[in-house]
Amino acid sequence: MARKVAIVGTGQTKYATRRFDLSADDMVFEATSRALDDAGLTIKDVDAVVFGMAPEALDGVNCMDKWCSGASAAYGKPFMRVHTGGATGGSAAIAAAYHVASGLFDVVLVVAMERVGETPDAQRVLNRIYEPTLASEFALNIINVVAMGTIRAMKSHGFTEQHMALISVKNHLNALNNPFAHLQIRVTAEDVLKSPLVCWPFKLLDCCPRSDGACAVVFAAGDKAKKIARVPAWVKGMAAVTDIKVPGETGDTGWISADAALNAYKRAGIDNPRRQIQVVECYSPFSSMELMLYENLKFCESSEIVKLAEAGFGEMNGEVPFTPSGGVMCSNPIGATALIRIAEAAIQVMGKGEKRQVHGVKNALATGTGGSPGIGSASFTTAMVLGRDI
Amino acid sequence: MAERVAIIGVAQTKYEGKSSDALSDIIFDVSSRAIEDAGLNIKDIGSITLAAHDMVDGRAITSMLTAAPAGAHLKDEIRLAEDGSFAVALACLRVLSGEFTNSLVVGWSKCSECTGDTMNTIANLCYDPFFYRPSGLNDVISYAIQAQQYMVKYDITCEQAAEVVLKNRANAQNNELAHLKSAVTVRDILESQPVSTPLKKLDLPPWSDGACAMVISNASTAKKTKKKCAWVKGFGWSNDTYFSGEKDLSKLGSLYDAAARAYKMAAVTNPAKEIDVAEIHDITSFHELMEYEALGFCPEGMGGKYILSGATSMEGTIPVNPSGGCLSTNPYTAVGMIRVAEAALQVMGRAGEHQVPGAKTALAHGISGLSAQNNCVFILNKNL
Repeated sequence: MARKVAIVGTGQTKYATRRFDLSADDMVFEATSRALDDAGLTIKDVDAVVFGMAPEALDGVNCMDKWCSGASAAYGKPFMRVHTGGATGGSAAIAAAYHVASGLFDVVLVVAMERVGETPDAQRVLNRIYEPTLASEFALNIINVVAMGTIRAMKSHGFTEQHMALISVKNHLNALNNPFAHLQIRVTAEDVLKSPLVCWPFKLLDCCPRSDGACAVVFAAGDKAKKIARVPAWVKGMAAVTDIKVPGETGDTGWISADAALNAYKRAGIDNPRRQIQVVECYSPFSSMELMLYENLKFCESSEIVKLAEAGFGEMNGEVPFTPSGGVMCSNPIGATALIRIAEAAIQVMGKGEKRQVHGVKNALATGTGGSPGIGSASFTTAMVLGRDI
Repeated sequence: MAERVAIIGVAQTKYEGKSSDALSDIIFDVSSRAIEDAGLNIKDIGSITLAAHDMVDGRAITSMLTAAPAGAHLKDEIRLAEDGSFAVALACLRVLSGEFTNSLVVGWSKCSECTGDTMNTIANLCYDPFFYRPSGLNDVISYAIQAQQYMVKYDITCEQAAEVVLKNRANAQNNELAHLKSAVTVRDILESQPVSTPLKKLDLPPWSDGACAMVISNASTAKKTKKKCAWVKGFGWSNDTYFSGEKDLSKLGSLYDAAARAYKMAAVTNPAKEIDVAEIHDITSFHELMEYEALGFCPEGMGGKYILSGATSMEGTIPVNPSGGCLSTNPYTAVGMIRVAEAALQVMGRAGEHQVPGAKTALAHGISGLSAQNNCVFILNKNL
């Protein structure tokens, strides 16, 4: 990109199973106002807005972006809504960054929201993402599809339920340091292994919660960004890649396409992520996904996953901390979740992480994942590399 | 805009009330033909922007099953839940950033799968569950309230609105892809079944099946193509409030803003003189009149007199909707994109039977949202 783009502010609501105290537009307003406050900007400074929301069947209101446009600072401004399932927040942020990179807008706000608490059973809604004549009838949902991918990865990479439990313990511990996190409970590996079985190999504490919440991020163009933020988080590389796979075609590395991260690395000039990236906010709603991402995001070979898991590779004091925020396993307002990864990665670069701050962050990676393999169906992956230096 | 982008390939399906093809087949058909029309290969396409609504497609994440036929495998793809014109805007931004050379945009709807009253129910579900939804509002009623306010404020008549239908349905007869191609008379329109005062059945579009795709490219690629292309001179889009009690329903607020942004970028100062042809989102006959005003073709409140002057007929100063518009063809999410595609075909000189002779500058317009909440405007030109 010819024009430099940076994140200059972030805002989040507290995530919870139900936000009875706030309606949808209230949540959007809270996240938007907090992001503008964080950047030291006002509504007048926003040139355009991108909105993210995933399946409306979760929220029970169709095109809720239209309802929330006023609350998202968009009245009288260019406004559009992105929807790529679980990757929505990442795709929306990338769309917003392209608004700035095009040269037509200087300050663009992206806000994403979901009220998963409105639906009695999110997995019934998510069954409807699959091909309607064959796959839906097969009772596929996100949990059992990821479980199938996990079983295959366990066999080929050698990680076990015990290794998955270590990831869960780490993420729940990290969430205690994040004031916005939904689940703030201390759990032991034994708690995870003994928690109720959901779909083998997943027990309840291997799985993310369903959350209500909203997140907003402000992007600004090069020169403006330097004036707005003391330390802007520069967008060094980004990509939103769609991968069409059927479950049998996914190979041993699981079903999450690595292409978004690889394309983002290329644009960011990163050839050795393990050395060049100091913190990762990855999209891993299930404990096993984080282990699969070690390899998928090129932090190690697949044969090293077990070794890294046992060495606490992704812990706060590990070699490369993964999800200091507690990640998707502790907060999952679906349409906003991938944007929260970007906000948290920006927070790390900007040095605003307080109790969850990783020291010496030069580059941070945020990823998003949506969709699912199925019969001719698409998985959406997003990646953004943010850096302290341009 | 420091850089320039152009539409270098366009494809549309034949629009119809009920297509026998599967949605994925329709999407594959237009996507591959748009790439072919641009003289490119799928390998040349760096980014893909899609426009589709889950509820209309009957799936929780429609692009999971529609991204593949749109060629998105291992491509940088983003889907909007908006009218297709907004997807064209995002594709332009992505090419303008310098990151992508060619961007494919695809929009579709297969409204025939929404049987019975489903489309109205989908629209009703757009309203908040506390205040608006229980009152039974839907998109048609939201447009009727606007039309009513507009009529009362400016003494617009049903006869004037009927002229819009008459014109667009007559134009559709020259468009081989149009859905409704039967001739109607003013009397047919005025005596058609009342739907929501003042709108009658023929003041409203049909529901259609179909898809549209186009390729947006950077200047160096566009200059190399052997075919004529449509240069994007300006584009703008804007948002109005969702709460109908908070706005002046007799005018299309965000269309004024979207047009001002597009005109500013394209350096259009006198649209009535500078624009040779327009394809606008005639979501109702009354809305086409309101759009004339918001786009600056005629002064505020003069839409009714303007249609009677014949200015927007095929022989007029600004032919509007030579393709027959939305009132003849309405594959919901694709409608605004079809307007952009038709405007592009006009400046490329490829509009066939409905070509406006010598069209150099064309305007296209799309609507997203109830009571025309969001609007998007493009100015295209034959020359760079």
